[in-house]
Amino acid sequence: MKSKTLKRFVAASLAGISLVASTAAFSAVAVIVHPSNGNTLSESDITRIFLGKKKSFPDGADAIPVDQKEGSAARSAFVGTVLKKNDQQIKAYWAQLLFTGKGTPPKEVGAGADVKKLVSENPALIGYIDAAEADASVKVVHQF
Amino acid sequence: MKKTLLTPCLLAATIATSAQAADIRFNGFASVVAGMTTSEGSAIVRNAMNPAIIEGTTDATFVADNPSSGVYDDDISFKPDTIFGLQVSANLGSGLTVTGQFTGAGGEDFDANVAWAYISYELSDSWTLVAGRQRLPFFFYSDFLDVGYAYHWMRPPVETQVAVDTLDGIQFRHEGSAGSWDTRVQLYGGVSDNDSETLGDEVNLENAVGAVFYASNDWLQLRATHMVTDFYLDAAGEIFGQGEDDTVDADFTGFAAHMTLGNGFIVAEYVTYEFDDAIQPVGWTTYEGAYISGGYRIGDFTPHITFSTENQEVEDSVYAAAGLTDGDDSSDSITLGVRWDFHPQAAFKVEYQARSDESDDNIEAYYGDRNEVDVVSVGFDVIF
Repeated sequence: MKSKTLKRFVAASLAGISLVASTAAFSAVAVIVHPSNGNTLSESDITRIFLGKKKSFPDGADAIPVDQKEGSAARSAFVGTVLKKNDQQIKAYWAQLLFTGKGTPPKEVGAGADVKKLVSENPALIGYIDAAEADASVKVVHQF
Repeated sequence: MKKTLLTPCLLAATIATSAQAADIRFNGFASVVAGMTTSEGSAIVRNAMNPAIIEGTTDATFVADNPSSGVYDDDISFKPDTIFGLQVSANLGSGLTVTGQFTGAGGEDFDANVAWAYISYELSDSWTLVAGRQRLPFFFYSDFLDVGYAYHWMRPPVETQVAVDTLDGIQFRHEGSAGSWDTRVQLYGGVSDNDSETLGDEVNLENAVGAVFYASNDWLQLRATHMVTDFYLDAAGEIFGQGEDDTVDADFTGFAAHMTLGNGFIVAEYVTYEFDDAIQPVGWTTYEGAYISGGYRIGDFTPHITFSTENQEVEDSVYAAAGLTDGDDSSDSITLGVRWDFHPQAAFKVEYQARSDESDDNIEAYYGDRNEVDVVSVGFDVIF
C-alpha cells in the first residue's frame, strides 16, 4: 500500500518534469516611476521593493509599490518574470507575512491605465504596465 | 524615519480608496478539514491515582493541532484542523500599526481566541518594535501555523508543534540585506500560558527570552533559533513541586532550511528542547523532532512527501515504580499528500500519514503502542 502510493508519486513527479508551465502570451512589462525619479534600479532593487524587503529607492526616498488587479496579464507576467514566482507562490508568500505582522502586500490599484496615472502623479510610487502603454507621463526604469 | 511621515500623506492623496484617518485593512483565512484515523495502535489506560493499576486499553488517537488540542480518532471529524481567522490592521501612519487577529479553532469548539494583538512601530528603516500578543516563534512554521494556504501540507509536521504557541511580550525585529541575501533578526521576551487539553494542564513559560535568525535569497531560506525560559505545568507542578515557585529551566533550539528548485522544493527542520529537571510526573527531559519534506508542482497540483521523526527521553519519572522507567518515547512517520490550487485564493488538499511507534520496549509496555496511528484528511484552505 505504502510503496504503491510512493511509486505513483514518483511516476507523477517524473511526468511533471516533462511539462512546461505555460504563461499567457504577453509582449513585455515595463516597470515605471515618476519622470522626476532619477534612480537607476537594478532587477534586484525592483524585486526587493515589490516583495516588501526594501522600502526606499537607492537615493533614500520612500518607495511604494502598487499592483495591478488580480488576474491582469501584466501582473501575471510581472510576478512570473520579475518576482520569479507563480501566482500561488506569491499569494502564499504574502499570506506568510500578512498574518504574522511582517509585511503588507502592495495596494491593488486597478488596470495598467490606473497604475500609469497614479505613478505619473506621485514620485514615491513604482508600478508596472504593458510596455505598449508606456508614454512620456512616466519613466520606464526597466523592461522585461 | 523622516520620510515616513510623508508616505501616508502621499498615498492618501493619490489613492482614493484609502480611509481618511487610518488605513484599515481586513484580511482572513479559513481551513475546513475532515479527517479520521484509519488504523490505530492501542494505548494503555491507567488509574489516575495509582498508575500501577491498568484500567484497560483505548484506540490510539492523532493530535493534529497541538495548540488547540485538535485530535482525530476513528470517527470522521471536521474539528481538529478546521480554523477560521480574521485580521484587522490599522495603519496609523509614521510607522505605527495596530493589529488584532481573532481565530476560532475546531479543537476549541470555535471559541473566539485572540491569537495576535499588538502594536508595531518602525523605530528606523530597519528596526521594528512589536509589543503585545504574538506567536512564539519556535518553529519555521509557528508564525503561520493557522494559515493552511501558506504551506503545502494539511498541517506542518506535528513533530514541530508544541502546546504553547502564544507570547505576551515584546519583540525587536531587524530587517537587513547583504549581497543577494535578505536577513531578519527577531529578539523577544515575554510570558506565555496556554491551556492544553491534550496534556490536561496549563502550560506556563515565564521569563522567556529568545532570538531568531533568518536569511533568504532567491532560492534558499535558512533559519536558526534559540530560547530559554522557566517552565511549569499548573496542576502537575503543584502536586510534584515544579509549580510557579519552583520552575524548571528549559531551553529550545531549532534549525530549518527551505530550498526552491524550479517547480520543486525541499524543506527540512530539526528542533530540540531540554529541561534541566525531568518534568513530572511523566519524566520528560530531552525532546528531539525533525522532518524532511519535498514537493513538485505540476500545473495546479503539488504532490509532496514527508518523513518525520520524534524522540522524547523519559528519565527519573515519579511513576518509575509503576513501570515508567527510563527510555525513549519515539515515532517515525511518512506523509503523502497533494495540494490542488483550484482557485487563486483557495487550495484543496488531501493527505495520508502513517506513523509507527518506535518507543523502547519498557516505554511501550507502560503506554502501549499509542504512537502507532494512520490518519487521512481532506480539506480546503482559503485566504481573503
